[in-house]
This record gives sequence, C-alpha cells and structure tokens, in this order.
Amino acid sequence: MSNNNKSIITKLLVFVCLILLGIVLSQFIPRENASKKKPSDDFNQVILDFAQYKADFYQKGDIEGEYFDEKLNCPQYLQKSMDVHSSFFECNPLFYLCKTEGVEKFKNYDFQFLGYEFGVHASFIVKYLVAGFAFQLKLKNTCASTYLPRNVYNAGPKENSDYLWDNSLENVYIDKNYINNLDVAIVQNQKIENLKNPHMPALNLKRDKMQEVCSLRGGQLLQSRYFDAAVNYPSLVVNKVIRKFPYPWTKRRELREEKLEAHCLKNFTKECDKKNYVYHSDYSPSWIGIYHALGSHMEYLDNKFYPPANLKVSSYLIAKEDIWNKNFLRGSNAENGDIKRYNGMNREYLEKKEWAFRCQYFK
Amino acid sequence: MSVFQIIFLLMSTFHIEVLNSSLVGKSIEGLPPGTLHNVIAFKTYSGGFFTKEYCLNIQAVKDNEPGELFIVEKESDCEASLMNGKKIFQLAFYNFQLELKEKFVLIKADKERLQIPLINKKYLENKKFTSHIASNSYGSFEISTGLGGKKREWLSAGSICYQTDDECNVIKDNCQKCPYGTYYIKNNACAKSLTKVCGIDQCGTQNNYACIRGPLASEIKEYCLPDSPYGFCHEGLRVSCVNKVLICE
Repeated sequence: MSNNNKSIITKLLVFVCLILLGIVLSQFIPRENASKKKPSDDFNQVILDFAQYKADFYQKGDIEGEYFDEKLNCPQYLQKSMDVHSSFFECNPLFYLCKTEGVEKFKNYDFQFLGYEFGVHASFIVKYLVAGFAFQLKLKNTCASTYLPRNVYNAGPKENSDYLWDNSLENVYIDKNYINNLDVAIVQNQKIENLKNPHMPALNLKRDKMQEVCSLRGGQLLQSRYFDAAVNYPSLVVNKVIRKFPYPWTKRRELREEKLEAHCLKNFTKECDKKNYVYHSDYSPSWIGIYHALGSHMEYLDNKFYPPANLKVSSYLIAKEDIWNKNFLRGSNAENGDIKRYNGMNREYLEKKEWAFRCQYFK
Repeated sequence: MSVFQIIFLLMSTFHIEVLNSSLVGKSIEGLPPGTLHNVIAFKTYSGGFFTKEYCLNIQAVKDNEPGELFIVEKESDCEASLMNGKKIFQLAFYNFQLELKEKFVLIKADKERLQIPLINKKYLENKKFTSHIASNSYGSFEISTGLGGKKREWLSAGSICYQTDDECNVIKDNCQKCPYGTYYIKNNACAKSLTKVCGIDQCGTQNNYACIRGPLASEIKEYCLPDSPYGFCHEGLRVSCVNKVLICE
C-alpha cells in the first residue's frame, strides 16, 4: 500500500470517528421540554377547537339525559339515585370527570387527560397532553348566576320608601340556586371524588364561612335587598312608588286554589312530601330566573339595611298559607333577633331554623 | 374619520393578525356586557417604505346601550390600545360580525356593511397561543401553555381595583387581579360609575365604607355631604364624607 493510500484511509477513519463522536455527544445536548414544543398554526387550531368543544360540553352538561337513563358508571363522581334536576350537571366538574376518558380522539389527535384542579373564582382547570404538547384549560362557571337589571327597587315588607335603592351603576349577577356541598369543596380546592351529597345545599354555615365561600367564588354573600329585587315582579314606578307583590310568580295577592302536586312543583312548602324534593331544581322561579324565591330551604341573606332581619323563613318547614310564606318577610337566624320593626308586624318566627345561602357578583 | 376614509386607509393592508379567533367569522353573542376585546390588527403601507398598524377592537353591547367597533392606531400593542388608544373610527352596533375572506374583510354592524378590499394582502396570521395567547381568554374558557398556568400578581383584600376621576376618566381597571369578590364604594364625583374594591363587602359597619343607595333613589347631584342619602349605614351610625369617601361613623 502506498503512503498516499494510507493517508486517505487514515483521514477516512478520522472522519468516521468524528461523525460517531458527534452522534454520541448529541445524546447529551439538552432537548426542549415536551411542553415547550412550538406547534404549528394548524395544530394550534385543533387545540383551540378542542378547547371550545370541551367548554361547550362543560356548559351543557347532561343534555342526553344519561344520568337519568342510568347509563353512567362512575360512582366515585356521581352516586346513583341522587334526586337532582338536570341543571345540576351544567358546569359541573363531577359530570365532566365522569365523562372524561384517559385518552380522547379529536380531529385525528390523541388528547391525553392529565388531571384537574380548581383555580380562582371556582374555575375548573383541566390538563391535557397532545402530541407531546401540554396545555391546560380553565373552564369558567358561566351557568350559575343570572343578571339583575338596572332599576330602582324597594326592599323590605313595608310600603314606604325607607329602603328605596337602585343599582343603576352596578352590574349584578345572582346565583340561581343554593350553594351546595360541591361548590364548597371546589372553592377549598378539595378532591371531589367520593364527595358526600354534592348536590345538597350547604346548610347552617356561620356567616364568616358563607362570606368566605362567596368571596372565593368571586362574589359576595347575597344581600337581602338584592334578593328582594330579584323576586318582586317588576311594575312601572310611579312617583317612586314600587308595587310589592307577595308571591314571586304572579301579581295576584292571593294564592290560587290548585292541586297539591302542581303547587309543590312551583313552591316546595310544608304540605309537600320531603321525599319528593328535587335538589338544584327550578322551584319558585323569580322574574330574573333565580329559584327558591319562596319555599324550599330557609335562606340566609345579608341585610345591610337591618342586619338582624337575615333569614328568608319561607321553606319546606312552613305551610303555604302561613304568613311567612310571602316575599320580603324576614326572620332572624339568631335566637333573639328583633325583627318586628323590620317586618312591621308583631310576630317572630321562633320554630326550627336552618339556612342555605347563595352568592351575588359585582362584575 | 368617515367610512370611506377608513376603507381607503385599510385597503393597503399587507398583513392581518387575528387577535381573537373566537370573534371572527361567527356571532359574538354572549360576551360579558360592556367588555372590551381586540379582534384583528392591520399592517398597512402608509407611503414609501413606511408602514402603520391599526387595531380593530370592539366593546360588547351593555344593557340597552349599543356596542362599539373602534379602530385605533397601534402603539406598543393592541391590548394597550383597548383602554387608552385614540379612536380614529367608531361605529355603534347591537349585532356585529366580522368575516375575513381571501380578498376582503367584511364587517356587519346592524344594517351597515363595510367591505374592505385587501389589494395587498400577503400574509394572514392567526395568533399562536405559544406566544401571544400564553393565557388567553375566550369567554367561557382560558387556555394556557404548559401545566402551571400563568403566574399572576394578585391584589390584596381592600385594594381599589376600579376607579375613575371626577370627570369619569378611568385611572385604574384591574379587578381581574382580585382573587376574591369585589364591591362598590363611592369616592368621587363621576356620575357614570362607582369605584370597586377587592374583598368582602362589610359596608354599613362602623368606620367602614357606606353602602350605596344609588343616584336614582337618592336623587342628589352632590353626593359628598354629611348624612348623604347617596349611602346608608347600619342603625345608630351616620354617613360621613371623609376625603371624598362615603363612610359610616
């Protein structure tokens, strides 16, 4: 072999060695983390579409009626035989998790569900991995509350204008239903698997605790004058006199005769069989679409005009013809709360007391 | 600027950036009332090699007040223009839809139809959430890259998060940074809005803010008075106006 040939072979060997060394060294070069991969515009669009699809699904809930048809099998999230209205499943993390699979196919991509947590204002954060790209969706609860139109209102049971007020500069939303055990668990960022009675109202909490729960939901404990505004059928304001009606669903001053069954669908009072009570239901709807305006559970209301008068007494513990089963009247959750002057009648409610609560939001 | 002028100005667009794809090509019903949104940004030729950028923004319909489409000249970014940008074109609407086609942009605002021909358009960009939409909001959801979410600086309870001056110019607007609820107080003469505070509403109690009775129910023009009917307190306390703030003493 000539020196010339030896030199070429040596150079080739050095070249091959350099390539091999390069390959070996490349294994030690830090790579981008999977979640930092930069996706293409098309891929972004798939993720946005998936997010929109999931947000819609979260909002709509059980539109197929699968829970009531007993087609769901996820006892850790949804116990069987809950007496609930279908609206309970709207914006409900339990239903979302029940219907969530480990890997979901969407537009030819596999979306792997990684887990969940709860964020500020009771938002539901779900985490996914798709094609090595990690992302999270913060799903907002847009189902719970409804808007109180701007107007002049008159709170309390009296006809005078002592408690006249207006929300003409306020954007106010009010929870349609009571805060339930699931809502409380969410703001405390608890795991919600096997949560006991998630659909039932959180009852008899202390005022501080109720305020805290509402605050963590991004709101305030519902105030009595806003509740009065939400349940009194609106009428034309003439000379600042606002007509007050005793029942939320009608301008009549007397209750109509009707079958008990029909009455209990509208206003769940003492006459109704508690075994038939449907939670998160649409009993006693008001003109803005909040429920349980009368009947159902007693409710704590933060009364800024007259603090001791803080209890909506009308409930399943009160008969439909009872004086307490009317708009505006308040009891007190304290044993000796003096509310006679507020109600303008010489009566107090001293029987069994329990209270649910809900929140309002200044947006 | 007239409709004709704005169409003429935007005709030279050579780059369109979609800032919020959920507002393009579909109905925008369901936006929170009165909220402001970036929609798209136009990059135009303004003579020679010079270019100018414009942001098309909307304010959602609020109660009975119409929404507004407004176009501003972009300064640092379109987000900043939402609150402070100088509006060069405004159009009120109750129903709004924007469609982005290959050769034109079509804006439907009630009965108005603005068709902006794109004679130069070369590049259409949908904002990537890897950059701009690091944590972007689409009405009912927000999307973030990574799994930790975006770190935010939160306001503490008691902080004022929305405020105007006496002439109703907005000087603070960051209630989205309040991790709790917010509530209203009265501390300036602006007749169109109230100030918002982050935290739990304890109005009406001693040495706290007065609760708001409201301008229509109180029927007064000058709110800052002793025993001002604009506010109210718990029994035994009186409304005072201290440093323009209604409180209970």
